[in-house]
Amino acid sequence: MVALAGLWISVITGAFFGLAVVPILIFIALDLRTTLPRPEEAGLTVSRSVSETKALMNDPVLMELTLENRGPRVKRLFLQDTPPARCEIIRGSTSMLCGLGTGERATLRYEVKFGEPGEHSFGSCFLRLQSTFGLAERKITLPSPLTVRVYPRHLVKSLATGPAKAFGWSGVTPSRYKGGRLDFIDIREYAVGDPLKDINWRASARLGRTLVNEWRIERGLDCVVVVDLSSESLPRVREWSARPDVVTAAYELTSSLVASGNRVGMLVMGSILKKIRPGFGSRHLQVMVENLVDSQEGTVWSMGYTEEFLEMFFRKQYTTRGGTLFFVFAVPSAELFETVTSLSEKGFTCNSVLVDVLGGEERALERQKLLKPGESEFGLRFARAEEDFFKGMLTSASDVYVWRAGEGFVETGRKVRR
Amino acid sequence: MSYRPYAAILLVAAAASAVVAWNPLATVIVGGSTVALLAGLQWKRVVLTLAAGWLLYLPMAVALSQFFPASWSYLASGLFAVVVPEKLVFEYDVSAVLGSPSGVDAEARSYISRLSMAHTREMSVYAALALSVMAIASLASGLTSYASELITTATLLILIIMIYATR
Repeated sequence: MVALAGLWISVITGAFFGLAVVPILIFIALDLRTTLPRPEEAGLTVSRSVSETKALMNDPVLMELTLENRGPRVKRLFLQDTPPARCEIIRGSTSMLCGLGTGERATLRYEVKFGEPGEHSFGSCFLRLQSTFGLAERKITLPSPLTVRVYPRHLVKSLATGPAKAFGWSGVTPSRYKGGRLDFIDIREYAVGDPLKDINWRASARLGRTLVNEWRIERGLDCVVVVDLSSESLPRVREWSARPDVVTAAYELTSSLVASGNRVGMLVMGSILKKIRPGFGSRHLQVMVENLVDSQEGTVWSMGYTEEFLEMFFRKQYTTRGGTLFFVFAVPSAELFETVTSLSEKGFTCNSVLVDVLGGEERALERQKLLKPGESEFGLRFARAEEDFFKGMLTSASDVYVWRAGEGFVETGRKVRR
Repeated sequence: MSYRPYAAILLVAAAASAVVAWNPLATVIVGGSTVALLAGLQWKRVVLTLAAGWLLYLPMAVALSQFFPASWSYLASGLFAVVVPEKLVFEYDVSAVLGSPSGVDAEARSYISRLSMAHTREMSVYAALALSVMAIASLASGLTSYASELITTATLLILIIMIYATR
């Protein structure tokens, strides 16, 4: 249009000004001599692959997006990939600029890390097919879905406290810990069915009859871990959320309890209620971890429902027998205090695990420039005082532990026994 | 190659045109062109960058016409206003990929460098074609002294090229 207007002005006025149309027209003619293929004719296919479809939090995951052209030649192509919102690009670029001849391939590579456990989905990639000088352009969206499951990282290994013990507790349930033996009691006559490993060979040789060692069976905890992922008690600063820390703390606790041979169940209060009946072993732990990974924060379920679900899903006798409960939360609330007190009065042994996220929240506020360094001091002091108040209240009904990323569990308060 | 050298070329050409043309209107236009260029560079806006190039067309043509025949000056200025902003805009796309804070791997660099070479080749073909058209038009203008005829001849030639190219 510009070229035609210039041409018209030149012809009408007979001036030199309109000579600009000459280079413009040649430019247009040269660039538009080849037409761009329509999306259905383009013959462009995209395939996506990742180094791991199951990854740990903050582990690098290599993403490869291979674009193949089975259609006519594309002189200039701009590819833009859309990684999931809650991931960080640690190497490479998510866009690519290239030309692609018939039958040619181009691969876009970049590395990402995920700071939050859960299922992270890669969606479509966007293509801009252009003529060499970019005067003509066609946009195409190619779906290339792929999901990466991200698991919490087990940071503190020292938490595995040994057979049938967690935080110094020994429970009433026979443990499934390998060996299942704790204390030597006596020597007795061999009976059919006794395992060979229990035969006391030295005593048998001395007395001339087969004798076996007798052991007191190991006892473990019968416990349920209640994880609070309700929106009100999960601080969030734009993209930053306390969820990864709460999930990691719950995972470390569960893993430690299971590894010590205890029977462990789980309730996750969030957008969807996740409930896992108490059980033993690594397979059971895997089920609990998968549920933790899938869990999302929400407004529907909160700690107030704990008692109701303990009865509904873990049999009525569970509430009468009295087990051990671990409450994992980021922000203590009056509702939590009421629940812990009520269950403690009913005979449950309650433990409160406060996930300390104040440091992370402060860093997020400063990183996102919502607070200047040093400005958060007063708020932090206020939040710590509030936390200490709740911790003090909770010690009337439960033992209180604090979990910090990288440090693990620290016992801060023992239940006040009356 | 970065977009900075092309921006520098455009700025130097603008300054030189303002000085040589030495009239208030040319200075105002060059000022507008510089502002558009800097805004285009800041926000990587294609339209602003192209506008910067085309605002320079008239002052540059006036400046060149002090040394060369007027028709040639206008054609050369038009060619300049196409080539340099186009390279600049192309480099915006390149820098969008290469400017990734987490770096770019060698393979992606090689794709870009191949595309950049193809782009430069095509620009050279364009410049050669434009110069040939100008030369032919100039020869044709020897027959008549009117600029409008010259343009008509040039346009006819372009149309012939277009028809040839699309076949």
